[in-house]
Amino acid sequence: MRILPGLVALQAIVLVVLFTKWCQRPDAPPPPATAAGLVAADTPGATPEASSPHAGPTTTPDPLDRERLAVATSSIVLHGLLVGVDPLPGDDEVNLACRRDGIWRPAKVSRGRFAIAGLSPGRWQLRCESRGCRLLQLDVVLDHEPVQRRDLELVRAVVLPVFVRTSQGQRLQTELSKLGIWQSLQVIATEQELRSDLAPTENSSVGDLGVGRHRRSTDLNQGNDPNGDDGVLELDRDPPVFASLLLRHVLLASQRIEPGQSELRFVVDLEAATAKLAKVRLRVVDAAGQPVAKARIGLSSAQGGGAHALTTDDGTATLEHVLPGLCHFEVGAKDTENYASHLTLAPAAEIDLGDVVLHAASKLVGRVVDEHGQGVSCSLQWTALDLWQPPHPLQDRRNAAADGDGKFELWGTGAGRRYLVRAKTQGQRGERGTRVGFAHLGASATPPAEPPTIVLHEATMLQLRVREPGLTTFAVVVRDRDERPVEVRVIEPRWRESSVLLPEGEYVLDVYDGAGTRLSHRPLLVGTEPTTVNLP
Amino acid sequence: MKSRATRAWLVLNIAEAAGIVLLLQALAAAPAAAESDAPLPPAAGNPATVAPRSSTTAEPPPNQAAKTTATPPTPPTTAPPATPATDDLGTLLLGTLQWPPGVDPNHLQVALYAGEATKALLTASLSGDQNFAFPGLDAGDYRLTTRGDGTRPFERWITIPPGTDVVRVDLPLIASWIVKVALLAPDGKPLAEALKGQPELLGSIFDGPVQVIASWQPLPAQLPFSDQRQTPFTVGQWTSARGLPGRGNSDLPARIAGTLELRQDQPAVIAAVLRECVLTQVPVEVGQQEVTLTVDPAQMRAKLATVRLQIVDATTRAPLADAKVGLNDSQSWRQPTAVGQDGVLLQERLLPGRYQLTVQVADRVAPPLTVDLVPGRLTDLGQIPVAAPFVLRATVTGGDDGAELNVTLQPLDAIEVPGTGRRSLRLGVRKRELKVELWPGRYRLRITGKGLGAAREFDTHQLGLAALAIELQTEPELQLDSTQLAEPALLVLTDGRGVVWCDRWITWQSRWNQQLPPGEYRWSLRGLDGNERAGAVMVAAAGGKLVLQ
Repeated sequence: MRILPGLVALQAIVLVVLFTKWCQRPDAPPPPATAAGLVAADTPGATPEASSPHAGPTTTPDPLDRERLAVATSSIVLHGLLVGVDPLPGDDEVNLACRRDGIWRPAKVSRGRFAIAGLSPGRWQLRCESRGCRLLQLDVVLDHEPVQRRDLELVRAVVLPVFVRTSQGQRLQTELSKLGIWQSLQVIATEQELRSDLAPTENSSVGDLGVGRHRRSTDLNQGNDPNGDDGVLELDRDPPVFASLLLRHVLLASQRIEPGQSELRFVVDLEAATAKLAKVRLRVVDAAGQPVAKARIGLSSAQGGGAHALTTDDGTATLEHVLPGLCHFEVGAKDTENYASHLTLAPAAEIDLGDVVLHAASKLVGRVVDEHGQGVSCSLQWTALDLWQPPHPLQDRRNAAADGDGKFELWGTGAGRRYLVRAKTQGQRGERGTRVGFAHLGASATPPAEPPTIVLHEATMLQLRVREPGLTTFAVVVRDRDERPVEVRVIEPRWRESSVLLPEGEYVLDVYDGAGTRLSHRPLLVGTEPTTVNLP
Repeated sequence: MKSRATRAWLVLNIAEAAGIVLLLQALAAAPAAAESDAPLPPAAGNPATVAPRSSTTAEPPPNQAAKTTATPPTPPTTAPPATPATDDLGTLLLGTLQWPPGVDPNHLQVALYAGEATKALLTASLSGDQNFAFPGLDAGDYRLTTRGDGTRPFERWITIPPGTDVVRVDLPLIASWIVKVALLAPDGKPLAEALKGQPELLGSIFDGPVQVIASWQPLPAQLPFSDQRQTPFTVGQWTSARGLPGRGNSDLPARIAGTLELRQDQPAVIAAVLRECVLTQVPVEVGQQEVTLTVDPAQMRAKLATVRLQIVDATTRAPLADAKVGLNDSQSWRQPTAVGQDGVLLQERLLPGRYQLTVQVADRVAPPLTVDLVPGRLTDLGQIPVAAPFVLRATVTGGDDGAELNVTLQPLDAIEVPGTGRRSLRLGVRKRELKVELWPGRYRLRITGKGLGAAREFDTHQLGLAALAIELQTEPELQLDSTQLAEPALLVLTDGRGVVWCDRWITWQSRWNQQLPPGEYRWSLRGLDGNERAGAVMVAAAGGKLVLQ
């Protein structure tokens, strides 16, 4: 047994040597987990972090190479040919770009040739989406040569015309548009059959997921053609795969696509589809409890539209045919606050929200300063804290600007409410140099003698990355040390990453699923280097 | 104790061993992964494709240098030796935009044109980067242009020789002359603050109705009317500090209303205007960084205009109470206003300028009119007649059925309503069939598509129910080049019969094409100072070119 200490020492030396070799690899990812060492957050094969609420370890995000985020002084161009299909898609039918750590470099495409400028050495994710072709995604590793070539082999996709009809043979989208629903029908292709709804989305549709893309015509007249198709589904792999028809995030029908199939036809009972729509009742009252007549109510998606109503004399309103999902909920009336929140509506929900209280309009004025106390011009967004709950996003549809002396006035604030106010300067050419600041401020009918200040700090980019492909939605809530929210990012299945700009400091990171169940709760330390956190 | 220590050593030993195995596995896998991700070697026979080994003679050709006098002089691009081209990739044109320290240009765009073509072959919007690359080019002459906030428009001719793989052109941008403008009320307060609580003076524009413009010459008190929301008569670009968040002058002190960007270094005049009405103007010297314009809100109020009109039946002259009237510039739309029981509409506190007048009334139409509202005055239009419309039908033949067609109907009859002008109607054509309700009278119909066009004059009183048959003919293009036009000028183009084909103020510097039937045209250019020059230009079957200067 006396040999053990010596063996441990020897193994430690070997470990150090191997670790050094690992780190010296070009474009090396962080080292794998070891029982004795620290684990970087995006290490392949790393020990999964504890995900129970309040019990996780400190997230020590792995530092990214700062050079990667800086604009490269010696720019590299990647160019090449698009090959493999004849005829090639048109230049404007190719969507090709390289990305890495929040940097996105689009390609110029001309007659089957492409070029991407502004790249730097290392690994980039290349994504090429071309009409009629399979989605091409690959990593490319660039060396220091100023011009590098890589031809891209396109593969013809199986393309199926899509027809979505009611049981009576009408076009479902046309019938839904009679209820004010102009979009939101979408087909997705998946390898496994989708058996339930997806997580709610604030967007009008869930976007392209899985193993294909649903391309729909932008010609409004096409919708009037009773025999017209509802777009095409391009598959990234050969059938069999499963196709699901969604109304926003709600599953209406699914079927298996067989090899050799020439079209995709869904027949959906119109009543069954419209039964998925929600109904919302509410009464709008003022701070004294008196009903507010002619209050404007809106339940909309991120793209607008949605259901709208005015309250009657008794302050009540009923909104019918509301698309289920995550809705932006806004109420406004004369001399009152701009009430802005979110609602998640389940399919076929009939909800009575009870009384929605509109506070009296108040002024929330303040000043934004830099670390030296100098006024700074910037943009501001604000969210009423008592109207927000996870996993909902913060309010991002209303903006105010601080003037050149840093003075600002937020509009539509309600007397007595507390707001999370986020201030952000415009960085030079993108996010570099961006300064951000947060404050939790109260709005009152009588503004304080000394206006509150928001201090801006240099911001560090925190990348949020979902490693696993899949159909899960995550909401990431960044809280300050007092556990008050300062930022929220919702990462839907169509995007597997997002980013947040935060001043250096200690935070708490909460991760929720799309239904609002908290998956993890952990401290977060943000330094001066860009960092990545892997989810969940 | 001893066994506990041994157990600890054993655990540490196993943990280390596991770490070694993991690292060894990862290192063993690494070469394969690196291999599969490595950049492809140059294709066989294409040794030049991985590095720029050739470049262009990027100096403008002698005959083209004169055409670029509006752009700053640029040093010639260095030209490394050329190498044979690969047939498949064409030539890769790449480069970097370089700007002086302290300048942070926004919204940069690089565009590549084939020769003198007015439509860009390729464009790149640079955001967060200063590099561009255009692939797959053939040998030939090209124009490379850049534009962006804070920099002067830049143009360079380049020649791509045959057999060149890569051409590198770095473009040194030149910063514009930026003048910070303080817009103050007479009491020294920022004008925006002084206007708070005076909605009639704030208008519907988010940064207020006062615009700041520049000219190389002193301005008259009243510029020619335009139907745009803000006057186009300026040689500078105004960026309000009170613009949308995230865009604009984020670091300006609050007293500064915005910045004016001037793209030439010469003495100028800077003015505050309400549309085309000049409120105040001051001279600025080259390099001057800041200027103060004092505007009295009372002066603004005194410039607001009033309009009165009465909608009547064209035959009986009886007032119509069920009409709604719209007064809009060409970039805005406001809800039409209902007239009174006597058919009268009186609108006050309007910004002076040109408006498009529209009348909504059941089963009747009004003549297509523009209205010029004089500053500080009541413009009484008297009676505006409305009548049953003539339904014009036309079928269009010739060319590709799918081609997009633009239709303009220019009224030709004299306008009987004082204070008004004739308003052209712009329409779209669906499936080659045109149907439009018109105020009866004479019109000139003009249809243009891709290289095709037709023109026809008609009088609705002489047309029957049958559709007009319009056949499109191939038409050449006249390239108009205003890059050397120092100041706004009114361009009028007429053919041999006196028909006017163009009558508009040119307030911009660029090249564009106007499709015209072949033939000889007279042109005239008249500046704000009234000076006029004229000449003739031939538009042959292959086209023509007219440089405005």
